[in-house]
Order: sequence, then structure tokens, then C-alpha cells
Amino acid sequence: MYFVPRCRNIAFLAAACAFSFLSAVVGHNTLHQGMFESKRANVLFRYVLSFGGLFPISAVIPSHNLVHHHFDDDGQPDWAAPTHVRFEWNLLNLIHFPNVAGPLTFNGVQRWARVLGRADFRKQYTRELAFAFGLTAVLLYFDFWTALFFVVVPQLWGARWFLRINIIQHDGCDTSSEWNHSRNFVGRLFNWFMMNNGYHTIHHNRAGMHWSELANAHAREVRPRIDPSLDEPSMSWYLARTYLLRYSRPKARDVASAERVVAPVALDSREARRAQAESDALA
Amino acid sequence: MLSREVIGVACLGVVWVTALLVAAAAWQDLRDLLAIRRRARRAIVGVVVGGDLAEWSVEQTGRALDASGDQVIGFHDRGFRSAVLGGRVRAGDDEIDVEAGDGEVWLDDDRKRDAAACARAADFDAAYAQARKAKGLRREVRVRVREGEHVFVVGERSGKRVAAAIVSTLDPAAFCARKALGFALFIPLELLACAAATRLALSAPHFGRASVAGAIACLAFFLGVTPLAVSLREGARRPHEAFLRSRWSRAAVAREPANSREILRSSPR
Repeated sequence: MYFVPRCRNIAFLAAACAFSFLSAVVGHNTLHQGMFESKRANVLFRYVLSFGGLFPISAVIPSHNLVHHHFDDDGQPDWAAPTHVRFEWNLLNLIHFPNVAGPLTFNGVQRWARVLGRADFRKQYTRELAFAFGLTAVLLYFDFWTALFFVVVPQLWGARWFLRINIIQHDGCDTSSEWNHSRNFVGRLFNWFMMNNGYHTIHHNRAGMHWSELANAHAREVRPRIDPSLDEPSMSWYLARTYLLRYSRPKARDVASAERVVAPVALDSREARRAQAESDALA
Repeated sequence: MLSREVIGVACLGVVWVTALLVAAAAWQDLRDLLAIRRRARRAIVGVVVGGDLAEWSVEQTGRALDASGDQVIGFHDRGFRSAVLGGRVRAGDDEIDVEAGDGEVWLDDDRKRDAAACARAADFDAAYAQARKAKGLRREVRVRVREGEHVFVVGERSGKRVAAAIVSTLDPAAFCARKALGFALFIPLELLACAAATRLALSAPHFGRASVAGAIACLAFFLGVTPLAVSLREGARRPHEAFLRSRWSRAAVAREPANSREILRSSPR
């Protein structure tokens, strides 16, 4: 679109927005488990992903891998907890959520990064920030309006929906429970595009598992333990039902009761999983 | 082709939806503060008699920070706890019984900071050794509202008894008014900033130089207003759950004479 004027149409713009969001999803997957065998290639790939969403993708390590996965910032709420927004009209919660979760996340990342021994992270984070904003500024300099409308708009769309996924996947769930903390979207086509990120419960509990294995693990470990309302066949229908076809926020239910009647599965404690994630992140 | 006009208007729409949502969220906080202020204006004002009245505490994790040429511990607040221990407050000629309960305990920042400070180099060194470890240093900072202190008690009063919702050493109505003023100023100012950026973006000729400046202003507004709103909201947290955080610096401890202030009511755990 930037280079070919004929591509500046709604279809390409929509595709760019979708790809920006998918680049953040890929970033999420690769920061759990590197895409390349070479560490250098993984680090270089982070620059591409940072440009895709106009934010340093390494921020995902503290914000997602360490804090969000355990719904806990060392005693304080997750930076992306759905409770950070509280409009009566539920649609406004969905729209407004990135406005709160974004700044809370970046403030939290800054605090986390200041701790002794995280200098490499800070360097990488700063370089990604400089690359993402630098390249975007160059594009704006040479063709301002085209870059604004066909590069920056998709970037911001992707980054904000990446944050919004948190409220979609966790609002109304019981984040203190082991198997009913997340909403899953189990449609096959959806998961083909989303690299199985619809299987969110198992991803939280077995963060090191490769995304291609999540569907089977979901069927084996999650389905017997999850409230059926948290296994949604379609995200589109869920969004329409929850944010468009009703006014108020759905009331919380005791969804965790589903896991109390089934035999437990061996699972490390959240503290142990967080410690493991922290040591992996700094390795 | 998607015309610049159409996508430009759509972008301005998104900027305005954001501005309005930020204003609406600020309004929620303003409304909450004003509701507390209304109750706080009927507070019992007096002096604590006959023993400690309340206690505020925060559990913290301290971690060694990267600081060139110094050793620094940064503390992270894990959780806050307020407890009204129960006791008596002399208000004029009356003595009011304050029931024990889990009301909010509001203390001024200086007292909390003093309680969280480090007095001696030896304390710092012991703490730093723990703070360097993966688990960090766990401690609890506790401050009590003691006999003789001037307090404001907000709550349901029946005769000479009160069930305290708030026990405060600072004027809670003034606190709420001050914080509410921040939101009351923020809402029109951020909408005004958005309007100014929009006006500039719509300057004739459309998509000319002034228009570019307006678009940059809109983008800056879009990216900048939400961190501003969040920091305003964080700064307006009620004192019982306001972040203390705090830092200990080896260089600062070395400069201060020992026992220069009453500190270390905190206890390592």
C-alpha cells in the first residue's frame, strides 16, 4: 500500500490490520518458544514484530509470560486484568480496555526492567523501540499521509486488539482457579488463523507447550475440567452476544465448580511456573 | 481507492472516541471521590485517647536495582491492609467509641515514607544481600494511629459509638476535593486538547502542512492521553491503597546520621 497506490483500498487496509494483529500473535508465540534455532535470528525477528505493532515486542516477556500467565504482579493485579475497566455499558469496556491496560503494561515493564540483571532486556527493549518508531518515522517523513493511514493505523489496530484479547479471554472467568481462568475459542478455522491461540486455558497452564499441540492437550486436560460456557465455538458470536446484543456486563458465575468434581491433574504451582518462566526469560 | 478524506474522518472518529472514553473514565473516578467527600464532610474530628486506634500496613518485596555507582533496593507493594483496632476519640467535650473493624486507614505520605525508610547502613547491607536473590526481600511496613494523634473518623454514628469506614490522619474531605479537582481539570483540558488537534488537522488546504501538523498532534494526543489518564488515576488512589513503593540507596544511607529520624517500623520477613 505504501509503495503501490492501487493497493490503497479497504480490502488491503483490512488485511494490513489483520496482519498487524497476527504479527503480535506470532510475537506472543515466539516469545514463549523461539521460532528459529539461532538465538540471533530470534532476536532479529523481534525487530520485525516490533514494527508490526509499533511497540517493543519484548514487552510481552514481563507483561504476558511473567505477569499475565499467573494473573499476578507479585501480589498486585495483572496489568491486563479485565477489572481495570468498569463501564456499565459493556461495549465501552471492550473499546476502552487498551487505553488502561496499555499504559499499565508499559509502566509495569519499566519497573520490571530496572531490576538488577536485566540490562540485556533493557538494551533489546530500547533497540526494538527505536527500530519500530524510527522506521515508522522514516515512512512518515517520505509520504506522511500514506504512512499514517496505511502503516500507523494498522500498527495501532493490531497492538490494541492484542491487548483487547485479554478482556475477551478472561472477563467473567475465575482467575484464581486452575482450569477455569480463561475463555477458549475452539473453532477450527479460527484456530488455523490464530495458531491455536483460541486454546487459552491449556496455554496458560502449559506455557512451554508448542502451539501445534494445544488442540489435543485442550481436549485431554481442559475439556473435562472446564465450565462449558468457557468453551466458545465462535469468537464472532461471543463478541456479538457479549458486547453488541446486551448492554450490561455479564455477572460472574462460579465457573470453577466444574473442576472441583473431576480428578486433579499434576500441575506445577503458579509460583513454580512463574519462577521457571522468569529463568527462561533471562536465559 | 480509499480516499484520504474518508480514512481521515474515520481516524478522527477513533481519536474522539478515545478522548470521550478517557473523559468518561475520569468522570467515574471524580464521581467516586465526590461521593466519599460528601460522607467525609460529616467526619468526627478529634484526638485519639487511651491507646492505638488503627493500623495500616503494606507487604513489600524489595529487589536490587541496576544503579551505576550505587546499590539501590526498589520496593514493590504486594498488598495493603487496614485495621481499625477500636478505641476512643475525644471530639470537643465528647468521647466517642470507635468500633474495631476493617475500615480504611488513611495516613499521610510522609509518615508512610518515614516508616519505609532505612536508617542504618548495617540494615541496608543485610537487606541488600536478600534483595539480590531471585525471591527478593520480603518485608512489611506498618504504621499505627497512636494516642494523642489528631484524626478524622468517617462512618455510621449511633449515639456515642461509630462504626468507622475511614480512620484518617489527614482531612479526607480535603484529600478528595484535591484529587477531584485534578480530574475536574483534566476532563475539559483533554477534550480541549483533542479539539485543538482536530481543528489543526482540518486546516485548509486539507492535507497541507498545517493539516500534517494537526495529524501529528492528533497522533501524539492519541498515544499520550491514556498514559496521562492512567497516571492521574494511580495518583488518586485512596491513601489506604496508594502505592508506597519507595527505594533504599546505599549512598543516601551512608550520608544520613544514624537515628536521624524515627524509622524502621518495618520488619523483614
